[in-house]
Amino acid sequence: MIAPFTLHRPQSLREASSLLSEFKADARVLAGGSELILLLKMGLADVSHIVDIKRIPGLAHLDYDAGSERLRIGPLVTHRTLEKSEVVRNHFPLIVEMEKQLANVRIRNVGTLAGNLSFAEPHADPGTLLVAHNATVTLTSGEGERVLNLEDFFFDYYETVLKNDELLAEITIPKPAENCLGAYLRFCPGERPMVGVALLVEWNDGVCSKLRLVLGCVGPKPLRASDAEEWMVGKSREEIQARADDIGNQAAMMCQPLEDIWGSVEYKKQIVKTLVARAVSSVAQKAAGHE
Amino acid sequence: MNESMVPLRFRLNGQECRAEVDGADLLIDFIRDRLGLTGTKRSCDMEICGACTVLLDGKAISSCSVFAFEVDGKDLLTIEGLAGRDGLHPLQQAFIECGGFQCGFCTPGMILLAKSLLDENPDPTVEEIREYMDANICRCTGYQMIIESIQRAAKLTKSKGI
Repeated sequence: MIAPFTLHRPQSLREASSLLSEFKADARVLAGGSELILLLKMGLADVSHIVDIKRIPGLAHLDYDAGSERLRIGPLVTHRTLEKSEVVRNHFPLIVEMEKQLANVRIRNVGTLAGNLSFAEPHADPGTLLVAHNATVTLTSGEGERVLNLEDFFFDYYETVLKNDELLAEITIPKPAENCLGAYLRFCPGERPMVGVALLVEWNDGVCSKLRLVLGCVGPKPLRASDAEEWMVGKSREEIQARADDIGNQAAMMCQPLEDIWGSVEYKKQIVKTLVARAVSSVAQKAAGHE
Repeated sequence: MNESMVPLRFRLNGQECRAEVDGADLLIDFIRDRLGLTGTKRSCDMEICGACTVLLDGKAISSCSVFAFEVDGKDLLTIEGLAGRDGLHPLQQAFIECGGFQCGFCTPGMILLAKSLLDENPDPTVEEIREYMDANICRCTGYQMIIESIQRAAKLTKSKGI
């Protein structure tokens, strides 16, 4: 049983935002509900107003703009839509690969990407991979909007920088460069990932020129392994391949996982090390195939 | 009328249906307690096991974690609506022929999930069946027979030309 609440079904983002600012902490946004309803059932969220945004027109867009080479994702786009989208498969194959593994098909049918990010559950896949993709988010309120890097959108465990009257209105993902290769690896003994590792590397003549290495689920929010990133820039694929384990170690030292039902801190760091080493090694191998 | 009540118009197993639900009512409770259709099972109650699977506009969802008001304007299929006038659905027939269930508790969810798979992909490979059906749990662990049942249903459907 879920405690009674007042259901609001606004017709516009402006109306939604004014409801959110009126009821503040007593209100929550409902899109797919796959995270929110679990919390409501367990009595972990004290909510007396639900703002269902599914009647607001124009929030389910999924557009790729060939000019700016950016994918724009509306807040009602589900995981399943992303998984099945041809344009996403053509330009963002890692996102399709990640979405296919996310939870199960029933959850992917209702859960939205924007909802997943807004919930900021640290044991999740999309945030990790999208930080590696250098995604941005547009937050909107009745007053106006602001655009943030996804990295800066996450604040802490289950917390984002969304203000009371703001909603996540759009996610924008730039297409990786032609010379970019990537990997997303996860260790998932249950329903949610215990560790996720995302890596995108740009190569120039077999040398790593630019990269983003992101560790997920091992801290309050997706974390860039900046020490390992710095070491890799300017190194050849042979050097990187040979030192994959060391890069894994370096990344593992940076993260601060919590001990929980998935395992101890040492165990999780070991998994981070292994996944980073595998990601680095596979991306270096793919680079060899591309030369 | 209570302020929190939401009026609904939807199709239930092919029939037009009207109802009124409380905003906080979960779909599974609406289906089992109000509509009296107890083929939909509650088990884990957290979107993992798939025993409560129903199809909403053809898509498999966990009725334990969706609000009842979400069915408004949509087409809801529960296991009770699967058999047609001419008898069992090919999936039901195939589950019987191949021994696709033991205790039967997961079966309504398994069959509806399999229906959404076959609607999307009428001739799936074993690998595709395994990947898709990974969503639902059978505690008797009759997975192999479930996979065989789905392959059989795909064949039956093809030969019937439906």
